[in-house]
Amino acid sequence: MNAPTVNPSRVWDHPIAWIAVVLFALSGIAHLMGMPINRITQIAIYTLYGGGVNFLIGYLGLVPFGASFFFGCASYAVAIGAGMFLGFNEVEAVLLAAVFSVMLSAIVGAVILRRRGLYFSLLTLACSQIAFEVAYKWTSVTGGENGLQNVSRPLFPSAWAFHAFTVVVVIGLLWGLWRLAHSPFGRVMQALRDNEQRVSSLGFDTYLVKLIALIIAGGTIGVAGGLMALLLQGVYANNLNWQHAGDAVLMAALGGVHHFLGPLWGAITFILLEDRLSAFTENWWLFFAPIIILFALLSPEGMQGIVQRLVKRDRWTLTRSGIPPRPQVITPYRPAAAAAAITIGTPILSIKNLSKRFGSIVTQHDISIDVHANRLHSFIGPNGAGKTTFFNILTGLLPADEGQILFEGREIGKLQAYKRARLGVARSFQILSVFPNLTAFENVRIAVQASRGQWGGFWRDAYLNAQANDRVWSLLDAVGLADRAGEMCASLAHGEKRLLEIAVSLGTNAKLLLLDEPLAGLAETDRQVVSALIQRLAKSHAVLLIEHDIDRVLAISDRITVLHQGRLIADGKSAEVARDPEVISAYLGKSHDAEFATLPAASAREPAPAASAPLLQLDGVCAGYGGSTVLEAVDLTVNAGEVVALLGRNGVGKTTLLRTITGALHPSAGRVLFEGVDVSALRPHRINRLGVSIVPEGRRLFPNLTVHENLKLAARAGGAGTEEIFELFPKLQKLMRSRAENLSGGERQMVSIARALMVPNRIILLDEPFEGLAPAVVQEVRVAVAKLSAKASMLIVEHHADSVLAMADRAYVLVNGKVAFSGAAFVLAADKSQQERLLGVAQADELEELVLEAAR
Amino acid sequence: MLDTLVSQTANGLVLGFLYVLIAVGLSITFGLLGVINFAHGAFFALGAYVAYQLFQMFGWPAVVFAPFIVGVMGMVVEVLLIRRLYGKEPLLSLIVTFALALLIEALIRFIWGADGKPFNAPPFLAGVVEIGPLLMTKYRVGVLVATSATLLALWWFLSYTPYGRILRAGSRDPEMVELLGINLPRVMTAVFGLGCALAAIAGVLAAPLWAVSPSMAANAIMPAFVIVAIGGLGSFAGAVVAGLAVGIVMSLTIQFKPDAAAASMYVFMFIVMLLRPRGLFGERWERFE
Repeated sequence: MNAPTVNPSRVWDHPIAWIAVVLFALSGIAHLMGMPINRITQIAIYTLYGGGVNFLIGYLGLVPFGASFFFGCASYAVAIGAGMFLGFNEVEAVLLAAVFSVMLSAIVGAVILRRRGLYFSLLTLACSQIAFEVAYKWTSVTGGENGLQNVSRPLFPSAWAFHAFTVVVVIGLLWGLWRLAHSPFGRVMQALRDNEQRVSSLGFDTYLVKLIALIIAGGTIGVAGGLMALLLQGVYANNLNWQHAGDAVLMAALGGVHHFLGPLWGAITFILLEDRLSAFTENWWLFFAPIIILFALLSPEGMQGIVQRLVKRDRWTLTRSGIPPRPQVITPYRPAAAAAAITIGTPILSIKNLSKRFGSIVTQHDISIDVHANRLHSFIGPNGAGKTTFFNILTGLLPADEGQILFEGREIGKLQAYKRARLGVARSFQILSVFPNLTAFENVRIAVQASRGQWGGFWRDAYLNAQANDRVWSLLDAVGLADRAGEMCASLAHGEKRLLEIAVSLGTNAKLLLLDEPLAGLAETDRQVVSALIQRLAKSHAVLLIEHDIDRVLAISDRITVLHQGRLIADGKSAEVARDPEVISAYLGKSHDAEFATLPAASAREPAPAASAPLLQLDGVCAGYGGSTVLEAVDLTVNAGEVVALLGRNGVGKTTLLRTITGALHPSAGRVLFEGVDVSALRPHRINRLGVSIVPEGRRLFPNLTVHENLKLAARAGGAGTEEIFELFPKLQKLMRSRAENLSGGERQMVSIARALMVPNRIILLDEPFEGLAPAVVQEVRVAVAKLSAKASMLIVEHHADSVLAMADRAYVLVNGKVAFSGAAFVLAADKSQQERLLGVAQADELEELVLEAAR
Repeated sequence: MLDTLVSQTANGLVLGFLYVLIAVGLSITFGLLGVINFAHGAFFALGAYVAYQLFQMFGWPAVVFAPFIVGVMGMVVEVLLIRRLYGKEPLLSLIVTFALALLIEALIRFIWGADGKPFNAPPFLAGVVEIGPLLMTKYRVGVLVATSATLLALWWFLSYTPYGRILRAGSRDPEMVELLGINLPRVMTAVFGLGCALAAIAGVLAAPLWAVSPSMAANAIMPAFVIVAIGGLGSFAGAVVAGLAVGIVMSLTIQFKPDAAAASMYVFMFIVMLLRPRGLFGERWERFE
């Protein structure tokens, strides 16, 4: 088989060619202008230094602020080595620097990589400061303040000869880094930069990837440090002090961290400016610091970023652009046959007595389930039942408190996430978990690479693997994304990203697939495509599926398990489960009729004055995050004194809508009017002071404050007093001195509602007020909410129609960011088929019919 | 021998309390703003220089205004610069505040020159006191009193005032604070100013102990980072314990192995970080994990 060629590129597209040409040109200019060639040698060395640092920043997403540690230590290693061995030549020096730095970074990396983010930056900085102290104070070995001046250059004594040697070494190593960036290992690094959790869930050991990358970068930086010692023919502690610690990071950022050539431009600017500025001032930071600050704020992609934008090719250049050519005929996707022959009857996954608590809240209570191979097993339950948390426990993102997880008979409950993935457990995420800065093709290819166990290829281009490429194309084609393969993931539409998420999950060829709401946010045609895919998969794999679309679940599942408030309430065949009265009451909330009777129904209250001017009005509002659109031209009105329900499934944009009203998110188009005044540009605190309060999803209390403090923080003149609050929630009286983190879910919800009442309100926005609460608490909260409706208008967001329609005057239903229904609440309450169509809720009687039909 | 131990421990406490003051400011700023401020040490140095300038112009009493002046400078910097870093990637705030630190240091060199300035303790604190076996300069005792009073006042402010409540709440969920009608941008400006003023108080107090020189900035920022890392992010008690511990460890190493003093602090930090990755008093903090 012929290996595919990857975009046969022209020589001048190759960044290494650029580096060579630029360095040669600079050397020529220096020669002509009579500038000392040492300056250019220094630029070459700093390009390598910056390249090593940017290998971590741009490709891996770690910022080694104290990279001077590796640079400086290697310099000292060379100088001290020169003192120990007679006739120590340049090649030996560079080798010594490399070996020494590799060992140093392996040891140091093993320790500091336990911490991420800012801690990593500060720990590297601390390392460089220790090295500085040692170099400065341990005079007998390091020469202290005076440094060491004993490095000779027997092979390249002249400045020009050494310059040539340096340029060759620098270009050679940078070429190596460029190759590495395209190898399977380099590709994993870039995926890890975008989304570490996802990489780990595909079965890659992220700690090891980071450690190896750090060793490679450390070695590269070390060689640069060794060359520096040879250039200066000595070594000084100066390079290690804290003012120089950030040099390489600044250079990389100045040139552009998302461009392979960034460090080159950065090094040239840095050194030439230093040269020019220090000609007339010793205090050159006075001029240089403002330049750096302005550049960082105005052009986050650095110098090359500006050029890329000017030539209308605004993209990152960390790797070659483009993807392998699309085959003329894409092999249709076939699920890979499960690797091992499975004994019929033994479950592939067996969960025994699993429990999990968060503080006082039990999210999983004594759960035992078996999952069998070649079956489609659905895992359902109302929102907040604990389904996603359960998946997080199975895949190792969260530890269980009690219980066992047996996979193919082996206990995996204590294994790290990536090890479970390697054994054959794959998952898709409910909240999109993809790699935004990689192409759609590369997103899937990483998963396929994981399935082939090739994380450690360091040299061969990952795109030259024809079989893997074919598999990627098949997967992309199966979800209908083959035409979009070359697009950056970030520029895909939301639905396309969901499809990509599924393709990534299928790519690993796991034995057990955990799919978390794979159909959410998809258009109907795509839902059919994906459900068909899932059914095909279930013929050769074990599939555990979380899904809200009940009709579809009943139609396609072999077995259904129902979770409610952390407890397993049913487990069996579709037909049996659907007839279970407990399931019907829990999942469909039907048996709560009695509760509704105690509520003042909307019709019983004073009807909202019809003529009253709208209190809150959304006028063609579009909004979203980072360029993506979640809400599309939403019109919505709440009149004074009204209770309005905003319904919709998970992920249709309900919370985004509330964020847009409160000012936490500004609309990209359209207006939000409050009492006729446009408030869409106001900050949240201004909007709150107009009389808009929110009881947010997840309560969002301040965990480190007491209940009393939480309430006091919000209080303003005209709001409810503590007596009023205690009347509404008598329970809070005893809890005032408890810290919010020690409260139960229901208590938190009460505090959250009370907090919203501490100010004078015109309208209260409630986001999923009943989510995850025990039935008794739901009732208490429901009564409280009903009482509030006398005080202010309300907009209640819910995914569960029955719980709010009874108390609402009007209702809106959102579907994929658009208003799909608006009208009187009782109309929607009565129209079950409309509810089913918009909310995907099959009602109990119909459910039974469906089930009976299925049973026949 | 015992005498030296006791007196070095006392010196360590003085040093430690100054470190605590610097670190607490850094920690509060970081907790609320989410920006790690490399320029924090520069504001410490600025405090000393402004005090020096005020002393030259108006005499001793004017020195108390130095922290206020530096606090206001900090607020101006927040409005012009720091504000643009909120919610952005950490690399940006690293670069900008690092460049800011070097800029302030360069400005100090430009205005006051590169060499150290003499700055003596005020006359009423000249001389020494004897407490049992312990011989201490009056000024050091004064520093102990001033720093612990400042820290007590700060603790009271954070625990019992409405502003302190906002700060503590905001460190966990700034957006929610704003949704409750609190003008968050203004709070952030004030907090940055407060952090700078705290650093400046330390700078003023340290001026007669250490030479007033441009390198003060670099000498303050690394211990502050180390203390925040040891004590645990955002923990007031952690900063106090860690600051005092670092001060004492350093003073004792100065006595027995002076060259290793600065390195001892880092070694101490690595040991703590290995045993307790979130620091001595660090809680799990969703925003930064």
